[in-house]
Amino acid sequence: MDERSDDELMRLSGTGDHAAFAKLVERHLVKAGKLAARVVGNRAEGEDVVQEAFLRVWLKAPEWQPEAAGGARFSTWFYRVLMNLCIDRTRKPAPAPIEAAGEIADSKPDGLAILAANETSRRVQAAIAKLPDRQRAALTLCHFEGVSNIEAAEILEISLGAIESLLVRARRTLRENLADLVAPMDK
Amino acid sequence: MTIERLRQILDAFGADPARWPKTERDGALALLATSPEAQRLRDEARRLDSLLNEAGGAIELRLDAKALVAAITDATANVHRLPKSSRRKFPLTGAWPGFAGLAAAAAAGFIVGWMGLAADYSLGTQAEAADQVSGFTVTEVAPW
Repeated sequence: MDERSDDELMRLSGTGDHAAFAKLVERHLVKAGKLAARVVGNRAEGEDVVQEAFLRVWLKAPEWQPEAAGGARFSTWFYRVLMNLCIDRTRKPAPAPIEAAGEIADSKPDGLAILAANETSRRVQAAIAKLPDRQRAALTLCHFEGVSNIEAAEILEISLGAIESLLVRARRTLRENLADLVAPMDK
Repeated sequence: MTIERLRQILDAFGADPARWPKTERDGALALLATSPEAQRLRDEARRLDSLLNEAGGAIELRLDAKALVAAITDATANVHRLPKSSRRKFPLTGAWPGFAGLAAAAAAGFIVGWMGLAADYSLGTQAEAADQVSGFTVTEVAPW
């Protein structure tokens, strides 16, 4: 296992070290991909966003300031970039990929909806997808990815109180919209 | 810790104490140990957690780390070899040759067109020049 810190890998990436950059990508790819897919609500678009986020990592590397020198923590900076790209993506229609030209448009979300194997999961996914962007982002970070409330607040560039408020509104909305599923079984 | 504060914590972070704010965790657990209402709220939060976990499921990504790295480093082949000032101004340096070529071609086309128009004016009348530049309407004699 590679014990080098993200900062060290960024420093090396900044010198053009492809292996160091590959290690950084490998380390964060899965988490970033899941996060983006959940926030964007579509696996393929989430993957597009992840690619763009890693491109920014590579371009940022030459001027990266490590945390010890007063810079940001890599993971906080990276997931902030990723979340901003995700939110941008959800606010504008995605351009159709060139590969899609000539194909019949599929109106169904490809990734998460397919993975939602049953009706309950489908309903929950739909309810999450309907949440406002930042509520969905907060819920994804804190619930699905286990990011602490402190780091989630840093990533979304809001206060601790604000992240808590986003989460409360998100979960209360979900509870209301899924009331029949949340209700205790013995009642 | 009050019931209202516990309700807020459960609504925000769910039923798992590990996700609660550290500074309030002990107080919340103490209340849970004695209050049936607190326990009811926790159970409700736990059911929502279960639904979310079930629906979250596994996401199978199709991204390949090696291919992604290759695509990025190939597309930006020159970026880390340039002076810092250039990097900041033109962050997508590797992609710029295409744009630069396009811009140069456009500029060249404009100059050639402009020169041609000037030559036409030097050789003939305004009407003749207009004929040479189809699609444009010349309404006054050019100053050059």
